[in-house]
Amino acid sequence: MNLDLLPEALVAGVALAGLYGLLPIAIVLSYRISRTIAFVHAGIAAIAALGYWMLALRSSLIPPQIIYWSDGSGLGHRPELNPRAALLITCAAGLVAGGLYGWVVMSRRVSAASTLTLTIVSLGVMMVLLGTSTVLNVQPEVAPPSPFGDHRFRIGSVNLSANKVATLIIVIVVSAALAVWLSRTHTGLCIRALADDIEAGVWCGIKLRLVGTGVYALSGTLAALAGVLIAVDAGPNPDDMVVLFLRGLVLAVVGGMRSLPLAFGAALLLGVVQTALIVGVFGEVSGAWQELVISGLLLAAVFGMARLRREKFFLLERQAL
Amino acid sequence: MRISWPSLHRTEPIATGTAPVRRAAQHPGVIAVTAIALLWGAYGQDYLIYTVNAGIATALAALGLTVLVGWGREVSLATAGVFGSAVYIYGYFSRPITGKGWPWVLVALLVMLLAAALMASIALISRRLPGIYLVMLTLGAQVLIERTIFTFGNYSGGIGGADDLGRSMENKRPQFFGIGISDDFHVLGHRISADGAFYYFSLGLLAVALVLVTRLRRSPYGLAFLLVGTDRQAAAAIGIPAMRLRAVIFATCGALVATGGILACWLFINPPIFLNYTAPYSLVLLAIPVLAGLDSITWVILTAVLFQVTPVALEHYRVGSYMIAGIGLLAGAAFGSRGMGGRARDLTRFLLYGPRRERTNRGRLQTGTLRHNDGLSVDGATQISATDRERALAVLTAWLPQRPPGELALSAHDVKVHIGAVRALDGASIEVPTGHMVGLIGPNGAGKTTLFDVISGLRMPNSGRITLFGSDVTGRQPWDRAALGMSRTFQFARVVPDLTVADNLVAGAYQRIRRNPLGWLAGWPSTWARLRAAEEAAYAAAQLLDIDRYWNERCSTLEFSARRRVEIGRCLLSGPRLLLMDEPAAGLDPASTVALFGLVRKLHAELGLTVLLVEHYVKAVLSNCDYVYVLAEGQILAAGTPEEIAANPAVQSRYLGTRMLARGTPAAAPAAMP
Repeated sequence: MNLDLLPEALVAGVALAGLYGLLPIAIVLSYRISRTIAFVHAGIAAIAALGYWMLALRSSLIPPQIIYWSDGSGLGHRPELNPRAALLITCAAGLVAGGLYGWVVMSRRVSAASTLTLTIVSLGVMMVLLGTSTVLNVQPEVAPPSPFGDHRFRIGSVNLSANKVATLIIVIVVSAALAVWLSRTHTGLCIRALADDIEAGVWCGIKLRLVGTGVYALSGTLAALAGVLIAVDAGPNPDDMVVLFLRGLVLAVVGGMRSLPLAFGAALLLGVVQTALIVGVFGEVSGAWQELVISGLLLAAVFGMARLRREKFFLLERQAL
Repeated sequence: MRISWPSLHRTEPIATGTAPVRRAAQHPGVIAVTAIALLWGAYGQDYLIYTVNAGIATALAALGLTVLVGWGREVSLATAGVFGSAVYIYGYFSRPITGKGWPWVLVALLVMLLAAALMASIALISRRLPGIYLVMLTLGAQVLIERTIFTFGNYSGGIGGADDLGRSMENKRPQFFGIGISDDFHVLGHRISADGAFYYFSLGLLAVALVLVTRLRRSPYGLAFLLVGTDRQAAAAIGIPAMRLRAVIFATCGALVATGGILACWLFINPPIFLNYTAPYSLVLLAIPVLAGLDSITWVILTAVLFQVTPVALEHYRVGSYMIAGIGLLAGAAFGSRGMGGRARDLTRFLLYGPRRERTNRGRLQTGTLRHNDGLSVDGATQISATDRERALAVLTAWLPQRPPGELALSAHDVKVHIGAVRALDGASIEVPTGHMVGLIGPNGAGKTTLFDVISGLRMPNSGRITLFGSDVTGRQPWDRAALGMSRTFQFARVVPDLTVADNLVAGAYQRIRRNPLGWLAGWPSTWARLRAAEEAAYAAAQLLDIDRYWNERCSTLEFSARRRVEIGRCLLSGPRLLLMDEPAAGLDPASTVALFGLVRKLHAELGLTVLLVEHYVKAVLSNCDYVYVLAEGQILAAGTPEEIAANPAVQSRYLGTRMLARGTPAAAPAAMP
């Protein structure tokens, strides 16, 4: 065990936590209004990453067509926009996509469907969005430029990109603001009321569709933002985005699907452990073993939470998804 | 002109579940489809035959998911991992040069056992966890499988497709008694390609799987799977070992998915890279039963083949499996739990017989169902003739097991249950003598349902002792208690809404007719004769409960009173000596309540059942029960005959009020009107 590398792992791990931390916020936010897991955010994040790549990439090596058919013909032309403008457009698209999804699923008729049905709808939309990526002319191994520039910050022996620092700041600010908003404001109370009982909430005068659409629009924006920031760091691979979403889902579960600070705490822990494994705090560990350790750690965290909440699990009782 | 719709009332009530394969094989549609499938293997295009072969492998995996998702109502995101690991592990152990070179039969069995064990262990680990944790657990298993496969290149070839030494990882298709499925062959001078030969082999394997899955579905095990999936507590209360069967559901799914993987291994020859079996592909597989219908075996197979063929047909537009799966999931959500298969059946019936509501009403009018709101008279007498009633009673009496006599059916002594700081039960003790009808009343929150849960084994007490027919059952599971002769109903009728009345009733017979599962799968006549006997008893119970007119209707279409009687009938099929009824009149109108109590009284008298019931309609309890307990704040406040209870000042002040005495003794009340 090499403890000299621990400070470096801590700094880099905290920065990495920013990347892990945004998607759980979107998941928790939408869960708090619908009591369903919004898998759709994985699709929005994946499409946002691809969209940002299309809008912002400047490369003469990659053919400029947006859509490619299997016979080699294509459609459209990459606009090569300023990265910040591309970020704004992508986030706006995420807002529209999330809002549209929320407008549909928070209608009186659809919201009355079972949790399982709503989860299937969410998975279906996610898969359709992921499916559209196959017709796009994207090379996932090429990362797009960062909207926050190419600056690098040096903390100790660690070099941090501006993208990572900005991501971390965004996550901290957004999760703190949302935690206050959900627990201290009237709108937050309405969201919690709808999450507990939609019918009762509506009879109390809460505008279901308005509030629902707003929450989904906000969480869609966050998912799109997460997609862009992850794409800048790791490339816009849709499959990777799904894996990161699922990892984010685990973090949200660790936060009890309600606590944003706890989910962020779990993201910090995950980021630090992963970085410690990568930089060699525990000696040389192969990539596959790193994944195995992280998966095991996440599973242990989930089951730890389950045990903490064990009084809620009645013998033989069937719990909804 | 429309074809007249057959009456919903079955003149021949038996054979709801027996001989499903033989009956299906006689269907003209099945014969036509089989003929087309056989001819297509000889005349279809090679690349399409190859694609359909891949579809058949996927169909086997999807059949596994039908068992898991459709019957067990569980979910797994590890299916792709299990499928992929079957491909690689089978390949490694059966390959002669880069693997172990073991006989293919042995390896195939080993792989199926491993997959079944993996899935069963997931079921055991997640036995007390809600759905979201199961998703997490299966996802974790999927990631672990992916990474393990990726790490050990000798199994999978890593991302290069070869072992650590760069040697090809080619698998050989198996041979049967010297006949291979890797070569072209000729039939009546017509050449059939190697993939065509493999197609016939796949088709044969699929047919075997189809027969086995269909038999499983119609057997008591299949019905028990559905009940466990819908409501574990209700299943446990009639003697179905819910957690054990849940593990069996997972194991069956694992074995079927592994069979698909083995077939894929033979098909591909060179195993595909592990990236084909990552987590999102589990969602693709999951979409198949969701779209086809959660209980539609044939449609699952068609959908699986469709999922494989469509991306090939739309290759130019680069429509991949994710897109197909996404559309499938959305369509499945729109179709509902019966999926595409259910909607297709509805459409066929609509075209042949007209709108469903009209059909149902016409059928009900023919059978007199619409004459009365629930078919029962006030004293609980049904509308069947005296001869039929006697016959039904004789059948049901013969069905119920002979039990040794005993004085005390149930004893709960000093039961304490603490939920956090709340003392839900604080030293409650009751006794139920054999052959009596005992009531338990008390205000809301008194602990009545908690005491019921403790007695039936759904909740373990902090202290106290439960004795059932002389045996101490305090620490035993609900299904063990049911085996001793106890059964229970719940506050709200908990039946399987997607099953017919017949299937719901027969599901109750699980612990009476379960035998060696292999007997059901192999179709042994002696084993299936047990099901026929259960169907006869179920029909007799349906006649006595006046629900025989709904015999073929799904429970979701029944009104509340009829559902309640289905639940009672299901309990009767489990062969009880002691029947616990939790608020049987909850949600019923006054007339139905009176009728139901009359019916329970008759069953108690004619079948010699001991009954313990919790009820808020005090007059009904005091009029029908021999002995009554009053529970308040977790303790027994009073116990005695109905007259003693009605006259007890403490009970009057805490629960009954004093107006009752002014009206006269409750036993003399004209009827048990609430």
